[in-house]
Amino acid sequence: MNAIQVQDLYKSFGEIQAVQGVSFEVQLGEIFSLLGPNGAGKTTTIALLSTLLRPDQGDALVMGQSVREQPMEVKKVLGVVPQEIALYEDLSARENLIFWGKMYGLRGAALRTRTDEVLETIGLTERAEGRVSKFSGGMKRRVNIGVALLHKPQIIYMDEPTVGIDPQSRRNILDSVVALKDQGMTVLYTTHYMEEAQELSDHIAILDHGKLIASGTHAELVKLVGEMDRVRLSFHPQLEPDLAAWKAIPGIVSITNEDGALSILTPDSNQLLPALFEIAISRGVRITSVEIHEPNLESVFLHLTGRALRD
Amino acid sequence: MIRIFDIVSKDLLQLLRDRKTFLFLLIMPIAFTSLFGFAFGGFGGSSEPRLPVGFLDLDNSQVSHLLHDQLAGSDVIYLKEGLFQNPTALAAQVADEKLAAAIIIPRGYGHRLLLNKPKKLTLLADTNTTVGMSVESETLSAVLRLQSALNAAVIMEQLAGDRAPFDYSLSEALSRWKQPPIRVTETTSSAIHEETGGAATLAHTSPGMMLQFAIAGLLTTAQVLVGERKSRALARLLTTATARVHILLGHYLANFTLIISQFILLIVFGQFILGVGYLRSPAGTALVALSAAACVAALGLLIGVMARSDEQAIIFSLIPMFILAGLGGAWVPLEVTSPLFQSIGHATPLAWALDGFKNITIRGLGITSTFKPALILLGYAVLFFTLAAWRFRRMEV
Amino acid sequence: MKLLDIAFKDMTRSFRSANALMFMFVIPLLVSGMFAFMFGNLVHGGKFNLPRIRLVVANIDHNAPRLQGGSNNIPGSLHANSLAELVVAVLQSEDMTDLLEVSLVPDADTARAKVDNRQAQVAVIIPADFSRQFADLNRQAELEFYQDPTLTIGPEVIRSILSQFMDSLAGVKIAADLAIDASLDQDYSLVGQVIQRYLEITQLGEDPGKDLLDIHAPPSTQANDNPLARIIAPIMGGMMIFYAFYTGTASAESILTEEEERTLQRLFTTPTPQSTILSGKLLAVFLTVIVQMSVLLAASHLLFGIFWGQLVPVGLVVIGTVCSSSSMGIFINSLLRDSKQGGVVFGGVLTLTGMIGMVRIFAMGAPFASGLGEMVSLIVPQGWAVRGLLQAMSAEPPGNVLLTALVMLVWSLVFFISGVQRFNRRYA
Repeated sequence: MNAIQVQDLYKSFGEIQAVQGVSFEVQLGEIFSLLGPNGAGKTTTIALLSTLLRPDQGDALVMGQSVREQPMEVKKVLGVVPQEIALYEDLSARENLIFWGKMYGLRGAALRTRTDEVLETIGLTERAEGRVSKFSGGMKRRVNIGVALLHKPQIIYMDEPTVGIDPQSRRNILDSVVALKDQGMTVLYTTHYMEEAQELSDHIAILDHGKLIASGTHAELVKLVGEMDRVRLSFHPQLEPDLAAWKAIPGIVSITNEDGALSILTPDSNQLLPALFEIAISRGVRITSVEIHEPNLESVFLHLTGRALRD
Repeated sequence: MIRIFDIVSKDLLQLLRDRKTFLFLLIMPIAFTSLFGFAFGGFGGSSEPRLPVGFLDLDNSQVSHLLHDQLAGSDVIYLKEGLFQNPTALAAQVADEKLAAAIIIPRGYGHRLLLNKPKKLTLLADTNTTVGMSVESETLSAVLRLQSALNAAVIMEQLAGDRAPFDYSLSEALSRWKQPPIRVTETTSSAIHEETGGAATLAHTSPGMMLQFAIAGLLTTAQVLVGERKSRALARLLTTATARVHILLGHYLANFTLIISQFILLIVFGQFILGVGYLRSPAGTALVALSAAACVAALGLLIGVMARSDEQAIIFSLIPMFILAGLGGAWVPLEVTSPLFQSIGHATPLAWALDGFKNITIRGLGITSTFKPALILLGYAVLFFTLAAWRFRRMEV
Repeated sequence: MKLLDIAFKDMTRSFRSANALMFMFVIPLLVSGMFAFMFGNLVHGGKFNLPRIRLVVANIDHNAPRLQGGSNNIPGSLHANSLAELVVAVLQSEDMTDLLEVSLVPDADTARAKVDNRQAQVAVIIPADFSRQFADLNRQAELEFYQDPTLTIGPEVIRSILSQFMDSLAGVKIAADLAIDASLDQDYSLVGQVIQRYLEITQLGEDPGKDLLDIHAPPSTQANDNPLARIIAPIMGGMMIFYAFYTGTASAESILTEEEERTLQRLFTTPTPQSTILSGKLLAVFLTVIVQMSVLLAASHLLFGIFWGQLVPVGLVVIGTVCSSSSMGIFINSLLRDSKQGGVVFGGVLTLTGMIGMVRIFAMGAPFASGLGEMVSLIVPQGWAVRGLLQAMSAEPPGNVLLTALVMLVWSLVFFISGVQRFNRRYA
């Protein structure tokens, strides 16, 4: 059985089509990433799968239960880590965990024991009695994650959990995601950081403007762009918008002007570079930097959409 | 120096964008003053300014009729009669405050009064209130005058015989009582010529509510300062070539501008809509208003500097509002409270501000009566500002 | 069970908020305490005692004719050579020392200035020729009573005493006038006889009021025997109701703030039915107001000695107030977009409706206003709560209180149904 089976989901807000015909499957025990820039529809998809929103069309099965028809059953198997910190800041860490544990159906000694375990897992045992309002951003994020783990869910959704935190905390979170998988949990992870998706995921789906434009393993996705290198050239002065001369160079699969710099996909960067330099000289522009990247998700996104992932 | 005015205009922009500012500084004082005025007939709703007093004559004698006539001619009370069948119903009417009081003449009253051994009249009233005391005083006066006239008539008949028959002497005596040979004439410095309770109440309530809500409105000004600190804008401001004292003065002047604008609007409202006599002495009113605004603005500055969060700003504004309003006499005139309370009340600035306004609106005095209150208010302004400056200097941003 | 968990969580947050505690408990008790302080010194042994009134007297009747018969004929062992001096003697007599603090000034302007400068509360000005005017058949003698217009009770008492004294003199004069009228051929021996006889039979007691009037206070003020409690009770009751409605709305605001904090959405992702979530929050509102009212009722009874009434009527009023305040809070919050709008609502709507509801309390002691005040106050639920509380305090029949409580429950039902419907639509 698939952990999650998404079937042709649609969701609009007025005239904005936030999710358009998204379908994918998440296998049990894997980490599945939804990758895309801001506004791609990742959070809306998570909201649909956690039954916060009702789809306009389509359905999703979570552990075989429909989000449309059996929302309460779906919620029982889910843990959700929202993008924003969703905690009661005037309660302590322990009080937050106890309350949320109750909302997930835990009680009494089992709840108390589990609370202690989660505090240990997130490394906040010593600050358990402290008010959340006094915590640092990283600590709040840890409690935010801890709440989702209390009832030992089979599936956990994590919506951009590393946004706006320091590198060390980020590292901790990424390690903990891997640890969750090791414990047998299925993780649906959304991010706009290509490196995270690359590092963590067994499968990745790329979203853009509400549509799923590609999905597969990292290797499969990278193959979409072939074994292509991405070459980035910066110039002084900045390039004119007209790229006709550059496009004419053989070996260029795709070329875009990113704020006066050239971003090029090519199967063989070594062969291409001399021709690029020649054109630069003939047009009287000086190349100030050259970057050569092996194929990655950034390239894939660029290839599929013509835009950088971080646009 | 010009930066001070830049800070003033920035603060005023923030304050005027906050709807709570209008609420506390304008809408609430107008609403409350109007409400109080309405409750106490300050708008002249009742055409009958005298106190309604129930009357039940169980004696129905010539003497009781005479007493009735005495009371009916009163300037203080008017009799409501014929509607009640028994004392119980009258008592209920008084209890429900539909009547200020009730007078019941017992059976045999007239006969006993003629014998100079009067029975007691029943008076249903709470004589611990001014209303009750007024009715008691008026009733007693009518009874004593009637008794005096009856006694004189009896004596004249006994001593002068046919020369002064009883009925004639009684009629003459009562006639003379209409213009008694010796009387007390009440005068007052009051600027309110019609001594209705409502007008006097408005003249007290209008400045009271204005001052109370000027303090309540300090929560918005305090929140500007708190917000400036929390958003780190103050820290940024201090990296510019702007001295701390200029920042403080800028905030202070913004507070002052807001409060004096409020006072002007409410004084205009009070004068032209409520009929409170602020403009009897425009200079005096202006002096009190300016010094009160200076004091309240400085208090607002102190609150803004002391508060570390929005919540604290609210608490630090509203608690002083209640304490200062209560102690200062905004709710209940200090004049009717105990001497100890009056002394304590006058340790607070609001009491002096109210004195200043009431000297003009009620006591009808001139500008000289406002010098002392204004001086004291300015003293408070200096005190609050100094404390705020001291705290601001020590504040870590 | 989850319903109670949510309710308890919300209550915990409420009672940890300094702001909430201030509005729930501190301010009502502070305001009532202030009133107790205001009037406390005036009350001794269950009766009101007025402070001594500062009175200045200016006697400018310097060439007054001597009183006939000298001081010996003056009752009360007062010593005076003229009528003007008699007035001064009366005011300075031992009987008046508890009431008056008398000082003498040389002229009328000085006397009035002392009142204007608030060094005295009343000035009595005996004009020149006062005594002559009194003696003259065809003239009227007038004594000027100049008072601070902001004062009420004190000067009223003095005026009353002075008027009574003047009336007693006037009575003698009138009797004398009648005798003069009846005298034949300028034989005025009748006048002396009449005056003598008149003085014999019109000896007033120390307190004519007690001798001539049988005064009964209205029954509604007898629920609290202590006069201080009689003043404080309506104010405390009004404050309690005023702030119960504040608490109801502030507690219900937690629905909006949770939405902003994103914890409401998170709650919706848990296997907790939405109806349970909302019910739990609504229950918290009711319970918070119950706690507040219970604490205030008990505290005011212990601190100020206020007797609220019998248990059943008071209980009915509490239930009605809790229900109407909580459900009004729910309804108001269902109309708001976010908690930022709450500031305006709390400050404006609640304060205004609260004050309208309390008009009846403000109008107490002003008969011409009370009828109108009661009518106006009943347009808001707070007015019904005040009405119920005053009924309980006046020991009105339980049926009356029940009717008032039922009206409050109708208010509650309307608010509750509207509010819940709106919230359900919002989170559908």
